[in-house]
Amino acid sequence: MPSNSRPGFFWARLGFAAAACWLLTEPAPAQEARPPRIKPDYSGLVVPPNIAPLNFSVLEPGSAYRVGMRGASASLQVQSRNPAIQLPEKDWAKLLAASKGGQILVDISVQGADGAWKAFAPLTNQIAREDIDPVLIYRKIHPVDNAWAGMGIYQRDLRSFKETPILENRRFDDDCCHCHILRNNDPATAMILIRSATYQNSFLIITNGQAGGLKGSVGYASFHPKTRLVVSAFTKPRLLLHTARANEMRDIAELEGWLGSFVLGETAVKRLPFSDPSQLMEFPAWAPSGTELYYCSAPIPPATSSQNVEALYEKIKYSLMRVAYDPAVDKWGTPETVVPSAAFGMSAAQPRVSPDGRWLYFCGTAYGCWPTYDPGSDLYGIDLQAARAAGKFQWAKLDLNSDQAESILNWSSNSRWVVFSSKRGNPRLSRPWLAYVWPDGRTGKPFVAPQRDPTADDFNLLTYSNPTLATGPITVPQKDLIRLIKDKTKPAFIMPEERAPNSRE
Amino acid sequence: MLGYKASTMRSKTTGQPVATAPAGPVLAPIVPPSAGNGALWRGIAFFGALFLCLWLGVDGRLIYHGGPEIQRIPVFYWGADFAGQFLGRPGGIGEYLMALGMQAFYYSWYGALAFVGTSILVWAAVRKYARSLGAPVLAGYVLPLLALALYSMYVPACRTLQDALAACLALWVYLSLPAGVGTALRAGVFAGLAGALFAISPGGLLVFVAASIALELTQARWAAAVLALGIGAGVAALEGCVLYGYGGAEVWELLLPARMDWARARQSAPGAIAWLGLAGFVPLLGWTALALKPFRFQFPRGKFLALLARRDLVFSTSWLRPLLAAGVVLCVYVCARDGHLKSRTAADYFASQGLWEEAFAAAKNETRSPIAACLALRAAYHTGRLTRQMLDIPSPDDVTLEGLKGMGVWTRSGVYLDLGYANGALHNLTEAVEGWGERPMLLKSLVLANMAIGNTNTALLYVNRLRRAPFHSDWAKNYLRRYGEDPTLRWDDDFSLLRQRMPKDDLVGGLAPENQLLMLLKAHPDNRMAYEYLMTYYLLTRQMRLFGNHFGHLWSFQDHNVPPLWEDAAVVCAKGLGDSVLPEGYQLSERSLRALDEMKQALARLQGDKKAARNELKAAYGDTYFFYHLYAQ
Repeated sequence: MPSNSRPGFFWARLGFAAAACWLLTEPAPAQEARPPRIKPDYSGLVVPPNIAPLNFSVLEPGSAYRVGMRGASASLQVQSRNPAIQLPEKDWAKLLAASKGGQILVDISVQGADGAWKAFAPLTNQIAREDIDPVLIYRKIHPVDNAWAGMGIYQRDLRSFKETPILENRRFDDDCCHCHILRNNDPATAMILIRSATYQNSFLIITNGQAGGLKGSVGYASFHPKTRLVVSAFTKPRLLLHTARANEMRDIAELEGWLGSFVLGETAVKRLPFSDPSQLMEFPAWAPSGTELYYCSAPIPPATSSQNVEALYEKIKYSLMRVAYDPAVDKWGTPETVVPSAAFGMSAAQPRVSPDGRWLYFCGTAYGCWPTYDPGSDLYGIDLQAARAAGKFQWAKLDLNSDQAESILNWSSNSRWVVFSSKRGNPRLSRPWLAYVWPDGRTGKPFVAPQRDPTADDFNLLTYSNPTLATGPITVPQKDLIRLIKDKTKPAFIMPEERAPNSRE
Repeated sequence: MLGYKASTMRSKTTGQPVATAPAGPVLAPIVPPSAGNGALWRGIAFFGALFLCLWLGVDGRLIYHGGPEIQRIPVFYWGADFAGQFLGRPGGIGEYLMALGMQAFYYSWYGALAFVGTSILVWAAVRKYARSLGAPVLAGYVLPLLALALYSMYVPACRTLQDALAACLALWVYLSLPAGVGTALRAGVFAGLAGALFAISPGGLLVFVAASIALELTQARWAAAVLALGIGAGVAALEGCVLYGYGGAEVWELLLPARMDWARARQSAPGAIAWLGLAGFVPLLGWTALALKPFRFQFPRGKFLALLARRDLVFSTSWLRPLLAAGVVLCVYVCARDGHLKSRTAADYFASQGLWEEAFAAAKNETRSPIAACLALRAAYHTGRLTRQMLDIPSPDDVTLEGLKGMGVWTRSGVYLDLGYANGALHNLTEAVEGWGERPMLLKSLVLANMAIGNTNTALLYVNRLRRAPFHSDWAKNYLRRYGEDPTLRWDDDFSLLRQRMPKDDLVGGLAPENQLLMLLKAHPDNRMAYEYLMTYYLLTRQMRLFGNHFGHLWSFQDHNVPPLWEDAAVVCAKGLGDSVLPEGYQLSERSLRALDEMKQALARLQGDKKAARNELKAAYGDTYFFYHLYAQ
């Protein structure tokens, strides 16, 4: 039976026709020349064709609201007495699919107290051809996470609003889970770090969808994209409190930081040969080729210790570095400076190379290595292709920054999308923001990940950290991760004998 | 229980009805007392006393408030986002309902009423169960008494209570099945109840199954007991592992009583006993013992004891029953109550309400606790006592509770807000929210601190959250309305004051109280509270030179009358360090000089023996600074 001969289809058409008649009999709404104010600001965006409905609240006063969306060959209509507009998921998906590479126009009309309708100038969004990785992984924590209460790592299907826990700390005595990383956006290889007062510090490694655990502590780490090598920073952060900083009193200074590597399935950590004892080293990040490792490095100010770090923390500025690596013979080259802190005027942190190897994005912060606590921190980019051609690195601030802290960024596997943490609009809480990256490196207007209830972020008191895009969900059951955390017989890291020559603690 | 069909118990071997209680001094509990008016009045007296103890004695408002020393009071917000946090995990539904129920304590009487209501349900269930067991029906009163004991100690033990309540309700439903219901259907209902219990309150499942097994053992139905165990274990394993995706060890942990509640309850012996009882250990052990060995206790011989043992006196005298029931409740309350904790929590509660006289009255005798000492100083400032009365503060650092981790953040945030250290308050409040949950009182302070700092969006986020809090939505709506009318917040005096007083010097690292107060005073020399706190800190630490150095600042305030305590301190300065320490032209107080002379003479009369003279001097000069200066350690 042809689909359009189904009775359901008939009734739908009849209803549509009735609605159209009703609209035609109504007086034409008054036209307002300006576009309406909506929150979140979902206008002028480049939107992934596979994202959940961009629900929003209309901030124009009124008693009823009509929203129409028009694409090239599909449309949807919503009428609501509530200014919080929730778009029908199926119609939205059809609209996006039909508008790939094109535009959608958003018509919003508001009924005033006198019953008259007012139509605003339409909003426009562009629909990209390229999908965004469908899963967003993040950690939800309280803005000050000293007690580690109610913390968890979650994955959200970006095509819907479904959020599922990967690991919730209520299931292991409210200990801390943090710093999840994936290899090449692939959920089959991932790492989650655990700080535990009850079960010892450890980290969980998922390889080929199977979870294993090791006792020990690592810092920020990066999987080699092609081999079983993992490079990690081993650091000793110290919390500092500022008396006059308005929004965020906290600050972090590193007293120790070196780079080490280990091989998946083995327990011995090797200090990397270029890990200079006179330098603090942080944030290793592999280039997708696996032949270069980016990291951040700063000279240790003389006589840095826990006693005088308060006087010196502002002087610690990290340069962005790069070192060649030959995976065939496990040989490291000589480090070269990509972004010298002296020329940059800031401290570089959290570098990420796009999966196509073209772009290197990183954070710039006033000093140190904790951009999320610095409202002035922004994201910067380097065109590596141009750098290779020109023989020098040119960095530029990205268009997606705001007047609040932008920090940790991660790429979609097709190099067309990024997700990053931003405190814009609310300097106490980070939210995951998404943005399109044009082939020439320009970035589209960023937008916050959509919520089923568009007002949800207006009363959500948790902060989202380390947003990461993945090509699919992590499928290891939570119970397996919990079992590993509680397993006191799991093997321990064997640290290099010469642990940290630069440590004066 | 699974095989228990008839209400009349019969011997398994002979088929004859089980013999009823023998006469005489042998106390045979199998016979339930008559449910006449006596029992009714006993119930009314018991629950009435329970209500009064909770309402007036425990004061439920303090439980709702929580305060720094009472943790794990559940918060509740309307809306799908909040409810969503509870769904999808075992026990989530029960926790959600418990959180909702606990909001009743916003009004003390309302909370007491809710408590009594639930107690009646528990009483009815346990009574029914005790009857089935052939145990004394008075057992129905045990759990409410244990819960009262915990509440009197301000140990809300919400998870444990939730488990006990859920188990009792399941038992009640199960025991209400008609006698004619077949074994298969009975087993099905049992499995259904077990499944529901695991979803609502997994700890209750263990109690329910254990209680059922105890009942079966009473009837010597071994197969039924094993079946109950098998169904309970099977349901827990299936539901926990398959439906909720938990590991086997995790499921077992879920079935155990709440460890968090235990951690708090075990701090005192009555608390530990009450918790153990409530968690099901004591009644179950007792009932199992009853089941295995019928209770036939022989009272010792002797006229007096025999008189006491007369059942008709204890159980049938109509006037004695209610009196005894109310007396037991009162006795449990009096024995278990933690008056010190109540005072400290009340001080924090009154301080949060701005009722400073009440806060001072509650805190002044508890200053051995740093929390209470800090509150007492704060209340002393607001009531004008700080410069007139030397409080007995064990550590001068208690002025801002610097260095006290954990509990300190809650109280410190209040002091910082009063002092005008808004960003310090913001940091501590945010940490307190993490530790104590999104308590409306903390959220309201966060609104103020964020507004003062200029984080309007964050402040409004907290207001929006409060719109969904029972009993606080009107406050939030009113705030939003006023903010909409005037976003400059000129209508909020606290806000204006805080914004003026913000520190400007960015110093890094933990600051000692003195440096904090100096920083605040530098940022805003008119900050009277910072000034009085600083001077009090110098007096407490007997740093007389620094007191003298800052004494002159008093004249920069409009009200610069020298308080008596400071007059005394100025005399100590002048005598010890010379007049130059004090502002030029300052005349030492005649009253102070006279008091010092008299005190010296009194001490001389006792040959300068400070120890011997202490009490005498305290009586005459206890409110002077001289006395503090002489005796402070």
